[in-house]
Amino acid sequence: MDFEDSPQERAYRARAAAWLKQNVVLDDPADGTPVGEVTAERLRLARTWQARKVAAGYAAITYPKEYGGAGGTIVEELIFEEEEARFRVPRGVFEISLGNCVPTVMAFGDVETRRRYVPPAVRGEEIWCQLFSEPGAGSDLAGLWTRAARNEQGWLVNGQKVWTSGAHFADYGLLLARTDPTVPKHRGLTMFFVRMDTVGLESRPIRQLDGSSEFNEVFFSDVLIPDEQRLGDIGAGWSVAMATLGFERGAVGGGLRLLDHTGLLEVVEDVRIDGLSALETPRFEEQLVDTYVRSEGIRLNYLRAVTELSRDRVPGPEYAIGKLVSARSGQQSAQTALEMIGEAGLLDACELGERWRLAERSWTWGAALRIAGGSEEILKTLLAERVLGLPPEPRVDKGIPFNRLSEESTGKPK
Amino acid sequence: MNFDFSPEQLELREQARNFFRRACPLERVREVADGNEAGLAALWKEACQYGIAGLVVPQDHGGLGFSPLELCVVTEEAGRALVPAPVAGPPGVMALGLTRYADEATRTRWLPRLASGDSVPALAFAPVHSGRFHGEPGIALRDRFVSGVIDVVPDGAVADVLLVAWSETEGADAILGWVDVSSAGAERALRVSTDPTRKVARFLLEGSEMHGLMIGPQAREACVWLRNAAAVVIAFEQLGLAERALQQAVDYALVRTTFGRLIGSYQAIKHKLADVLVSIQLARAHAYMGAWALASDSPRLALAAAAARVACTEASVLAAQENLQVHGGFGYTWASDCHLFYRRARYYGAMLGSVAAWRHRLANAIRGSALSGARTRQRLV
Repeated sequence: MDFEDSPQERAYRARAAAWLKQNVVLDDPADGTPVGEVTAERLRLARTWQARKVAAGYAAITYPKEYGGAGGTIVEELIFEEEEARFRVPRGVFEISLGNCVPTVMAFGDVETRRRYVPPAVRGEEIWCQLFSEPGAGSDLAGLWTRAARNEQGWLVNGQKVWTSGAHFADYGLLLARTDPTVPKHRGLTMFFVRMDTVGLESRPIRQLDGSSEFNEVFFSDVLIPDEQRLGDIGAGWSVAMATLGFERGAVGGGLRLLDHTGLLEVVEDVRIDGLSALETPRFEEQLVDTYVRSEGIRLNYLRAVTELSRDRVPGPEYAIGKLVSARSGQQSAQTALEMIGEAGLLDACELGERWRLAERSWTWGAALRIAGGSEEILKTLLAERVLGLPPEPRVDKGIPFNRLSEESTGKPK
Repeated sequence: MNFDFSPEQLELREQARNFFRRACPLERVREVADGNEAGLAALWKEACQYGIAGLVVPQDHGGLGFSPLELCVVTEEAGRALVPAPVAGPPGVMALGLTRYADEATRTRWLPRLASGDSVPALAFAPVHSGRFHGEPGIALRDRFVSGVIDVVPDGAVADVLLVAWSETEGADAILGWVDVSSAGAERALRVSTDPTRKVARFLLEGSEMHGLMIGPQAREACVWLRNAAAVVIAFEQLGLAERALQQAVDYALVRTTFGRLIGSYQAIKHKLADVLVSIQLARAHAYMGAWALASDSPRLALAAAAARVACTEASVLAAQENLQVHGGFGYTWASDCHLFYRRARYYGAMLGSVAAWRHRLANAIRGSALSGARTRQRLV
């Protein structure tokens, strides 16, 4: 057991840190839009940053060089991420693309597909989004209604997706659709990918609680997808989708960029309540300790998972607690930060300045993250079943063909 | 970066788990809880023959000469077994203290006897809490001889050697040393412990000799280090206890039915036990950090030990509470094993100063380290 870098790791970290200092592209500081909103300028900055990383071998570090990666190790990737996290680089552009979608293409695409699509995505030239959830199918994803019907030219897709991050700037989407309604719901799904500018595909931004639009609705009317754009076998879409969600870094790692103990201290450092330093109040101290146990615990849990990977072992499902713990912790930390500033908490974030930014983001986005990528309730059920071996809940739809289920029970779109 | 125990250490953990499974099944713990201590001597002897009490005792003093990392993995298994005697954590902490701070004569006197099991240790740290529940606290030194009352000593009922680590005394110098319980002037009074499987005593000392005596700032530093070391080592006992309690709850949820279904199929039970699982997973990460900080003599020990203490105490208390809850009314009976876990979680949580004290220490350590870290980061951006 050793928390310190080995000599090689130390050298790698020093090189990365020096390179970052010279080459980093920072997020636009004058940008007054909410942190999550990907403006044209933020998109441009993010692409510039990604291109520099690719050129220097700091993008997709564990991928082979032929795919635009650096052929490096998981520990090197961890070290670079730690060093990069010291800077406010533009974020929110490539997370889904490179975190969820491209690994799916790597795992399920044939050689030609991988060679064609992975390198431009790694370079940031092409961006991917994930077309999974529907208005009637969120936690129960396998109950989705978007239909892909076979014809001579390929597959004709009709239906609607929702909560699609980045659909408005993505070039490709990973699409889970129903190809066979006559079999039970998990077995009738197939995974495709689709160009987002295909005729008949339309995306509309959703205005969110924080006023910004990170998510979209995406509508399909007679969208034609060639069979070459299928990933995995017909009817195997569920297992491909589960792999995609398994790649999600937030599931295991920290990396949600919500208020942790350091951020919590920074936000209220000079605040006083009835003349007493806010840092010394019992309320704050309770929260500080809870936040530390969670955020530092998740960071250490992630390091344990990386250690497993570096020993060529697959981390077990018990490691997948990052999002479950961090989203709630970030939201709660922001709530306590709010309590520390009293009446100033009535004010909009634009009045409270740069230092309040992360707290505000945690107050809004923390609420979203408790739902996104598997709600807390779904994640707890998964832990109980997969790690503890508790039996599944009885299911009224088990084994019944999708088209024999009642329309109310599957949330058929009106 | 390598954040796991080595394959050899994991193998040692397996061996220790198998040893305790065989030598210390829950029936043995239950016997002790019921007042039948006939099997204790044999368990003690067997554990010492196996090397458990002498894990970190240097080889030239008859031990196995392992590092604190090996001590931690074995201690976790002792916790998992609810071992009804101080066979793993306490002798480990005492051996670390003897090796690090005692003079040669004191080391030679006790290290071999700790390893062989001829000496039973107890850790007497200065109480962190005071008030109407705490009696008249305090000990004082005259030359090498100590007098006063040590009110609550965990494992004190069976111990014959005390580690006396007296750091926080008002205005008085810190004191560190070892007392032979059978020596002149040491009087023991048994107290009624809430965990009958780990018994507590009060010691009245009237001019008892302190071996390996240290006083002043050096002793203060040593006392702080030892309390942090004890927090890490006991955190592993708590971790083992928590995992076993969770497993007990899962096992019961897989056999008990209500409304025609196994109770484990209800989300109310699943989510309750998932919360326990998450709490344990976080506690384990902090415990490992504490073990590393202890073994590598890191300046981060104070922070890591406090975090391990807080996370592991809270996880073990939660696991013991929810295990009982999942068992329903049966869980409240003496006949169920639930109370063994419930009591032991309380025992570990109350020794060394409770989680209320450690949460305050942790907050201070976070405020100290995080603010300096934040300034470094601001400079960089």
